[in-house]
Amino acid sequence: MFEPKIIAFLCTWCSYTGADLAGTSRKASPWNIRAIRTPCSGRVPPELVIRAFDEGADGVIVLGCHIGECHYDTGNHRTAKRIPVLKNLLSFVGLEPERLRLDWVSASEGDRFSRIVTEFTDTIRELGANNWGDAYRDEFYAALVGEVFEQEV
Amino acid sequence: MVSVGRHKNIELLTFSEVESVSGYVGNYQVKVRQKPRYVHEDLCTGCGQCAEVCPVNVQNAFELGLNHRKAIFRNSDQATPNAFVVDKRGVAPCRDACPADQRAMGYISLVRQKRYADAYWAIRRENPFPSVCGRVCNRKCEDECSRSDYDEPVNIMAIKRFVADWAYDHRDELASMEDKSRVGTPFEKEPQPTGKRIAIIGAGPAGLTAALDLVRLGHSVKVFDSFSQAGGMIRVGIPPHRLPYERLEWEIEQIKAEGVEIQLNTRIDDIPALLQEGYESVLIATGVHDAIKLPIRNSNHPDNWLSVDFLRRVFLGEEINLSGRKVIVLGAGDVALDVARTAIRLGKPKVKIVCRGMRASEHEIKAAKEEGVEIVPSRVFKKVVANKKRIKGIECLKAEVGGIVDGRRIVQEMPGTEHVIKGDIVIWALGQQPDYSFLPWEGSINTQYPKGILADENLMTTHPGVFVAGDARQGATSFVVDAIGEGHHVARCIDRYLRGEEGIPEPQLHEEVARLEPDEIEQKISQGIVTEKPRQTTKSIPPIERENNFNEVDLAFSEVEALTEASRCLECGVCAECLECVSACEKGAVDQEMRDKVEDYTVGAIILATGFKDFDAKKAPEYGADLPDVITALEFERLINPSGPTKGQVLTSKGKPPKRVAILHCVGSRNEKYHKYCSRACCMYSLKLAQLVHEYVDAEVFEIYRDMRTFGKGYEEFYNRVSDEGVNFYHGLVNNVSQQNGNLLVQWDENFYDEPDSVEADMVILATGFEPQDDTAKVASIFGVSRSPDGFFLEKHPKLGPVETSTDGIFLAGACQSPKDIPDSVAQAGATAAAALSLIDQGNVLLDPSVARVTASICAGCGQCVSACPYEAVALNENVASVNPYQCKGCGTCAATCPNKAMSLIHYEDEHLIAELDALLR
Repeated sequence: MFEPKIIAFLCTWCSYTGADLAGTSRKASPWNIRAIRTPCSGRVPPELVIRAFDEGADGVIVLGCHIGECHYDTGNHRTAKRIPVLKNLLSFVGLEPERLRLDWVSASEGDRFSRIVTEFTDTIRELGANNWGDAYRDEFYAALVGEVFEQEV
Repeated sequence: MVSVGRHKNIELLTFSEVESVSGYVGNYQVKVRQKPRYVHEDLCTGCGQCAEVCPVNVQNAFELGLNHRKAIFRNSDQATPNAFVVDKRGVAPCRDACPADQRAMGYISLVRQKRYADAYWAIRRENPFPSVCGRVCNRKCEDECSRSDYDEPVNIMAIKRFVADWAYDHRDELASMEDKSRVGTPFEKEPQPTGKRIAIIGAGPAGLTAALDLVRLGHSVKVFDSFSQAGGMIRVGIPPHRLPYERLEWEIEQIKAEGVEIQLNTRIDDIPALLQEGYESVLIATGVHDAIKLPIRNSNHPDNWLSVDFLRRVFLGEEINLSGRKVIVLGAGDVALDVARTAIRLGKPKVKIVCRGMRASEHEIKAAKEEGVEIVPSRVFKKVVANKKRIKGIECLKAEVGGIVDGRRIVQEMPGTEHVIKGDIVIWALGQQPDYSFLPWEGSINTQYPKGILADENLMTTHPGVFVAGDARQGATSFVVDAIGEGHHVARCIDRYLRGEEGIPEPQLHEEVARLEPDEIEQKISQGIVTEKPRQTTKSIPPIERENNFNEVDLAFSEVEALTEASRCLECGVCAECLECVSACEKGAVDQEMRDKVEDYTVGAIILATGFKDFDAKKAPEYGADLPDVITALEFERLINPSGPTKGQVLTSKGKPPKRVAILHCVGSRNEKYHKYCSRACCMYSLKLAQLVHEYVDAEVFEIYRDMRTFGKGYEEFYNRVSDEGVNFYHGLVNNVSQQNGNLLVQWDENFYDEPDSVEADMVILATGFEPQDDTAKVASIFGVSRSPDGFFLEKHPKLGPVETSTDGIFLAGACQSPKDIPDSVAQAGATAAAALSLIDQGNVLLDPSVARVTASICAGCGQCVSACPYEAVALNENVASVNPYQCKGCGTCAATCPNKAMSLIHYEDEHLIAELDALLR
């Protein structure tokens, strides 16, 4: 069976602790999840998400605190605006938008963490491998550069 | 607790709430709102004399509503700090509505306790004319009374009259008593004579109220009046059948006894001369005493009388006999009724009131009709019909009369309906206007359009040192309470003027008015705290006894009526503000003017120990918490406590000691419907209760348990001991508690084989579990603390950080973190203290080095980082972003926002994240 590589950006205060809780309370989470801890989900730059896909990640999930519970007051407000915009742009570069997911997990929601990542892994598994191959990417870059070039002329 | 309260390094901020927390570990700024306890903690000795005199009884929340306490209270004799607190919801609406700021709820509460003298002092505190306001008032208090949302307002005026009449009947007794009416007012201290002289023109309610206040402040006051009797409009405008002279005279005598000098029969025409004579201030309180006459034909015929003149002539002693005459009174208000009812007493003439539409109280109209006054409404008068000698009548048009808009009645005349109403005396009672002929001719005291004398907010006229108050200022008539209120106001203004703005300040506005919601009223009445009885009304003497005399018509309340009416009061404010506690306190600790105090504290560490809430057994209907004799464990604890509400006696609702007691475990705990978790402490406290019942009540005990959790040191041994003592333990999940044959039947599932599945008992104790406090979410967000799924605060790590939270410098102790028993709470609190101490004892804290940093050379100065920062830690200096590392908390939102990658977060820089990513995806 196809086993996807999934990058999870976890905010240290809520979702990372939530993931921890899932672990301490012996909740099974798929091993496909590869966690990167950030201080806040607001620290996740969109370029890094694109880069993850570029380097072969099959899915990216960004988890933060629930709105209103951010350790940094409003850091996750930025995320809540940023990631949906990026998601809309994914199909433009030839990626399924379902490969990116944003959700909220609080420190006490170990169950929820394990449920969300399992769900997401299943989704990605159905989508199959990320075929954002070199050829496609080069084509995309060429088109992009060409367009810029034409504008400058 | 006491030793904590006395420790020199511990400052206890009781009755306080944390409003906000800012800063970081080692340097938190905490904003604390200290609610007013209305008692100075440092002065109160906890003697309890205030509670003895407090007239208000409320349910005692500390004793779980099992008994009552006073509005000024202390939870227990061992309370820390051992100071009393006033339970005040706000100012009662009746007091808020009164222009004179009368403490209506205060004296009503005192009447209910039959403390009439105290009630009288409470009235006289703001009102030197209780007899007057108990008889003639527009009752603004009753308009606002919360009781009108249920049935009818409390008859506050009649209660006041009852107290005033009681005081008059016991005036000799009162004179020998301590006058408590100055307690809690600015006049409390014996005044230092100031040597300032004040002249007051007009001995009416406004003038005399101001005079009394000013004398009490140490000024010397002389009141001038052009009439031969003091009292102003109350003396010459209100007929004695509504307000007997002797009552008013007694009240004026009391004012004079305090040092107010009244010079009668003296008209003042030259105010500047008064100032030159050495009076430092002059108060104009002349009222409005000129009745209005319309310029219609024959209105200057000598038999056209003016209302105010007529009343004045009668009340100052002129003999007038109107027998056989036909009197027409023109007017629609209270004055017209007073005129008509006075005229009919002078020889029983025929009296008709002709008007557009009456605008007086129903009670007065009814009384006038009983006495034989005829009211002819819906008329517009056109001319007075007269020959040379006598008036023949008044010619009127019929009219359609509408409502009152902007103080004027809408009238539609009906042409062709001219007719003459016969009469030979016409008395004009259409209203009054002021006579300002005494003002200085050179115009130094300005009047204002459309009426009244121009005054600033301190009631000073355009002439320095000359003040104006009462009807004279407005140029129109108002009510006695308004004049009294303004009298107090102008006295404060004059006092400040004479002391150069240092006298008594204006009282603070009532911050919060305590209004009751309809369901609260229902609750109070259904619980029997307040009587359900309807509003009591005053009775009148029969019309036959009123003929040709000026005996008072309305009777006062009997004592029974007054007590019934007083017990209708809903006590909206809880504290009645009668100031009995103030006069009872020998230390002067009670301060009813206390206000909220917000203070900032800088602290290094914060410990949350906010505790838990008892599970509300009413949410679990199968346990029958509403049935009599089904009580919670906490209620049982209070009952069996020797200093509790029953002094340690445990009785069923039938008044007998229980014979069979069932203790039900796990109420609200270990149940998917309520709380999934085990509340830990209940098994052991249930065993303790079982032992108490065994030992002190001598009843048979049944413990219905699900699993006995006797986990602590010595706990299992205790369980075995209780078990050996003969307590019955039955396994089961209770599914129903019901009443059966006068007893309680407890039934359960999951019984063990060969064990019963039900038991009959005469008392059931519910071992209720623990719940997070209602405001846990709010507290968590204030302190930036997370919560676990059960709602309690979340520790940093269940094993490695059991007392810390995810926010550095904020610690947890006790049952706010999870249900615990006392040994566990104490142990955790000790650990918490050690953790907090080891943090602050270092003297400095290590801040997280992960803060944002700018690579200035590539910063374009777009400013997106500035708007992204939640902490205002980033600023643009000369078009380059710069970070304040102390303010930065290291969230990195700016780094993710920066389009040029000039902003990065130490330890979470782009290279680090990319390296991590690369490694993960290799």
